[in-house]
Amino acid sequence: MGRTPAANDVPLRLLCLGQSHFGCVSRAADAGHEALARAGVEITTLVMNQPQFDPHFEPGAGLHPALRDEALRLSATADAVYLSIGGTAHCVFGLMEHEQPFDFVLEPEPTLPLLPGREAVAGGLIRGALESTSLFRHQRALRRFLPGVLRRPLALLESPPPLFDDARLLANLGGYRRLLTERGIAPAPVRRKLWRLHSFLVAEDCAAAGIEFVAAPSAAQDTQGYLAPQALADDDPTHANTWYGRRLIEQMVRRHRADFAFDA
Amino acid sequence: MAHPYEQQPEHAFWRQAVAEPAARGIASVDPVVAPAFRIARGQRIATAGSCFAQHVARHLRQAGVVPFVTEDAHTIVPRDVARAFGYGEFSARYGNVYTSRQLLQLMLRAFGEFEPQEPAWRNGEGCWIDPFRPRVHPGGFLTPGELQADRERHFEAVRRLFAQLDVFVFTLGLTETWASRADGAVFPVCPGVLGGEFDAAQYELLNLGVDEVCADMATFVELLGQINPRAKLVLTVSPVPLVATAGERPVMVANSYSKAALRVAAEKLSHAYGHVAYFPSYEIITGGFNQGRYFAPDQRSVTDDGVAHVMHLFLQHYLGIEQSAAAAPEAPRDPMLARLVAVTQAHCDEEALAR
Repeated sequence: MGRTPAANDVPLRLLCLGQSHFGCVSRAADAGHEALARAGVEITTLVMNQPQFDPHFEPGAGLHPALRDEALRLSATADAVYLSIGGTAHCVFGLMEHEQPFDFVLEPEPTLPLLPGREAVAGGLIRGALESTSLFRHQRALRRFLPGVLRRPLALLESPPPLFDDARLLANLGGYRRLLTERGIAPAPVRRKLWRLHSFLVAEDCAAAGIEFVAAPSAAQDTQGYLAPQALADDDPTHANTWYGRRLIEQMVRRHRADFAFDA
Repeated sequence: MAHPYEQQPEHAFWRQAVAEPAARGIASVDPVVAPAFRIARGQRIATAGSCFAQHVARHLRQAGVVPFVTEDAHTIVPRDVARAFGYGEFSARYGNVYTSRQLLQLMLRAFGEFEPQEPAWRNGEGCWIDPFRPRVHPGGFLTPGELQADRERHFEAVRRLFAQLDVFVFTLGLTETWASRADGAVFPVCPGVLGGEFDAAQYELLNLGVDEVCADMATFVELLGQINPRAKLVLTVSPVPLVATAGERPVMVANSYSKAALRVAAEKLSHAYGHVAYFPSYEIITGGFNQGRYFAPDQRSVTDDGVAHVMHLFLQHYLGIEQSAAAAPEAPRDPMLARLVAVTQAHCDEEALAR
């Protein structure tokens, strides 16, 4: 995983290249820049889906030229490059309750129970449905494309797990409010299964592309593997907040400096 | 005294029925002449059979006729994914039904009259394959329970299908089939090919004779009549040659026997039952009048022109449809999903920009 400076007087430079789930890292790095500076850590986030890079990636054409140049420039001086590509495609199925409520056998955890009263859809079909969304296909193409451009060891961070607390989620629907008010939200166990399936597929992509897949930090999850309650962003049911961003920074830095603590 | 041929209509004479129409264009050849019965618009047409039968449902849709389907995927599953998982190929998700024995056992299994001893096979990835429809679930089911639950839904759909259909179009495909020595259960694919392990002590090759095909089909016809007295049948014989034979004779010879036996059985059944018709798709595709042009270079796959000729005559004679209507564009299965994708995309773009 990249170069690892030996002491704090040699700065550790991490490049975080990705999409919306790095928003929380960006905010956490801004808020904690003094603490990071004291620790000799430089976090640079390059968010791909910005207007100046639009469209940031097209499967036939590759990265937007300006984005490609910037990614190459920043990655050249970084000790490690972390990616966050996608991570919300599962929300298309798992956030809103479906008019035919469903559950499914989860490929990586097939012994999880099915919720009663819901249509049991074969796991292979849910996998196929998730893989066929335009969001996932686009993100998959990008995951496969980036190693050939950056030519650096890459690690991809898993997207945050869903929140268990339905009431809290309903109070923070943001742009989903109108849609989700129509049908309500799916039960937490189904939301978590869809997130796990999504991560399973992303991990498969990473393995095929030579990217290391890094699971979501356990420090930001509850005992059941849901998002820690303090990590949910305000008025946003799909992204995590600055507190979660700090946990991600801790996770990344500790892979190079085991004793790092982020005291923002 | 006039001899019998003097009274025969034109379609009884090769020159008028085959040679002259073929000279005008092979699509002019019409061996159907008159249907055994007509299918009214709105009647429920169900399909099953070997791979050639898949064309029937597709062409019905293209002609604006909605085939009767009792088993569809959850609406969260997009149409192309559902198709890859065997939905929409036929009226229910039974996959290819190649033999008369397989069709009969499908009915018996669906109605709880036969429970094969072999419930599932494992594939090379450790997933579970339904031995009786091994191709419908790519990759296999994740657990035996998932397979069993899906099978129960499938049987419910098959029961509804047989109870509610008006016309059942069945394409007889093969006489060779692999069977369990324990209970006679037949499999559409040899054990060990897509799952399970081949064991000659457990499985045997059957090559059904004309009498066996007739007996299977007669039992099926009788049972269907008990379930659904108004049901009519259209039998066809698949023109697609055997991909391989497990017997000793060369595949070309084995194929000739198989098609001949099925063709004779279809003829006998259509004479025995007034509500069972034979439709000559086999003759249209394999007839010498087309000089092999209805087969692709592999000498096995049927060309689109061949399928179109068959289906044009079927639609014309049985449904009174002369010109295929433009198929209506397929609506998204779940319009809400498209809205959610758009909202999610926009939402993520906003989050990416937020500082």
